[in-house]
Amino acid sequence: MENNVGGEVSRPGAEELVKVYAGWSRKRLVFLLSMSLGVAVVSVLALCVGAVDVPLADTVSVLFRGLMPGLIAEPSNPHYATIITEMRAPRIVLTVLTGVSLGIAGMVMQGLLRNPLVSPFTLGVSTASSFGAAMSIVFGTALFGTAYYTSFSILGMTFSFSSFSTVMMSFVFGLCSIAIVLFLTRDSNVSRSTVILSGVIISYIFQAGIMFAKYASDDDQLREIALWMMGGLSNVTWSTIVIVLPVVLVCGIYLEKLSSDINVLSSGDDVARNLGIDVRKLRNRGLVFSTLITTVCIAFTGIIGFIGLMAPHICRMLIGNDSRYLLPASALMGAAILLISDTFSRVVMRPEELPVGIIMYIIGGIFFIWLVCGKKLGDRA
Amino acid sequence: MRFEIKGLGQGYGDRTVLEDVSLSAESGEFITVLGPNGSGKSTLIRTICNVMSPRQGSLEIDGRAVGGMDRKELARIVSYVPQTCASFGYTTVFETVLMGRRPYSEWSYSEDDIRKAIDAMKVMSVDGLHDRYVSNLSGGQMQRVFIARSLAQDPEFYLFDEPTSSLDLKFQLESMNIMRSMVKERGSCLIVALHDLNLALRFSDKVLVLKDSHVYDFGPVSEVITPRMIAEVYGVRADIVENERGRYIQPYDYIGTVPCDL
Repeated sequence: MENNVGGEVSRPGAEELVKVYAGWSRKRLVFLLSMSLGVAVVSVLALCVGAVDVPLADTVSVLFRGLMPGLIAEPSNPHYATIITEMRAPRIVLTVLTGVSLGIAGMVMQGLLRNPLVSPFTLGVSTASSFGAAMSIVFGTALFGTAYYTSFSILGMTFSFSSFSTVMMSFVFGLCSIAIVLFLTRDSNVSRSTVILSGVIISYIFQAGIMFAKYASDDDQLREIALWMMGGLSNVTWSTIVIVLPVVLVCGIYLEKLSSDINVLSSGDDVARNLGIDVRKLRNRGLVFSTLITTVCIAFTGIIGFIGLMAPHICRMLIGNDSRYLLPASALMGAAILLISDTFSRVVMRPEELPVGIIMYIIGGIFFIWLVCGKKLGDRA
Repeated sequence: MRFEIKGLGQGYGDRTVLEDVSLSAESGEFITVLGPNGSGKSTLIRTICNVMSPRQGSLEIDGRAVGGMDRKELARIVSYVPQTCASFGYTTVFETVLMGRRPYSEWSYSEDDIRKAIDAMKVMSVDGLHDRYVSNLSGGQMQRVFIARSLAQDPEFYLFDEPTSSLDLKFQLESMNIMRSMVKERGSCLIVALHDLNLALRFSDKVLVLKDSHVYDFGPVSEVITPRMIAEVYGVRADIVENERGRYIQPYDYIGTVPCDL
């Protein structure tokens, strides 16, 4: 968007400037549409590959035959429908939802605290969630007795109590971290640096708890904690989606509603207050909802880092800082990065799977280096 | 409109910065707030625009308590440009100025908002910089952008904290002339914290002088800015010279030593 970083430039007329602004909005909408299309295409391709490859035509047939039964032929193998609808589709939907959530949460936290290095990790959310999961894995039996090894059914879906306990403990402790940060920074005059510092301190305290849990664990528990903290998207069922989807939708829409106020906050707290924004309320609500959208996903997937930091960063370079567009762009970018990483993690050593974090850090890191070192950053927007 | 400030007290922690400050400002007035470093000029401006809640005293606009007004309603009446402004990341000049229309808009901006932002950019001569990122601008260019945002806010009262501190001589005079014309042509009221006594002498209608947390004097510029005030408040001996172009302050000596706790 920016050009001529040097001296003064010619002064355009008012009509020309109206067109310039409309052009920016159009460009951003085109970017969002392209990203949506890209995520949709990658999702379909991700459905095709895995331990068993499903031909694209058969994948399309499984997905759309229900809508147009007369026009689309049946899949060539009857097992393809089960592989796609019961095994891969829920995983890919959760991957997209997790990428969306982490992209949104990172963007909102960075905007609210005017710091591009802030992410759910910085504010202690991820560490607190890990602590909850580690507690459940190591002390589940002590806490819940023999019930820890049982299963139960809700709405026809069966859950093992141990998995349920890990998800719930991770979710609750993730939310606890932001509650503690907000409690420590409840004074209305507290600076945003204090908010970030509180998050970092909370993170260290929970880190100590994780170390203790690891110290107290046996070999199997230690491996389970390590795998949880590497993040993974296997063993996903539609019941997970039923829980995650509504939370992501509600939080995402609410945070998009706040995006215009987050824009104003980029000019500083005092200016935002003068422009009619209740800064404290905005910051608290934004942090609570972005924590909620993060924890509901990582409770099921384990720790997935990087996206919350990088997706908003990459999008900011591409379409600028207008939060109204940056939020959906970060969501889609997060979904795209995680989807590509997860697909690689499934195929690179098939039939084995690598933890998604390993692939994601490599792909995302290389892409970010290319973006930073490519051309003059200002020319990209 | 009339802004009435009575018995205002303000501070940070245990430190009192302002005590029993009273003044009134009306549409069509250009009021300058003067005082040495640390005298509370910025705190007074921040308190008047309700960025800080006062510890004591009352703020009223046309008889209505400022604290009880809706935030957006107040934002349509009072605009504020702080001494230093932030700009995060890749925000362009156009987008920054458009933020001034936030009190009039919801999620998106109307064409009227966009045109008002363009007018404000043109008044402050930053329309040529519309697609530059604010974080890449010089201090003076940034200051013009933030004043333009304030113009786009289209309020009744403008509160500026050192609006010319980063501007070169030409833009200082041009900006002050623009502010003066806002008062005379649009009937707005300006309350401006300044360090430059000559600018205050040339452009203000009234002057409020702060010293040691209190109001030293408040009144018409010719009555308040005197060699005695400059000596007592700033510790500087100065003459006020008058010629066909106006009145100027000519400092020639300072009294004692500069306090080290400033």
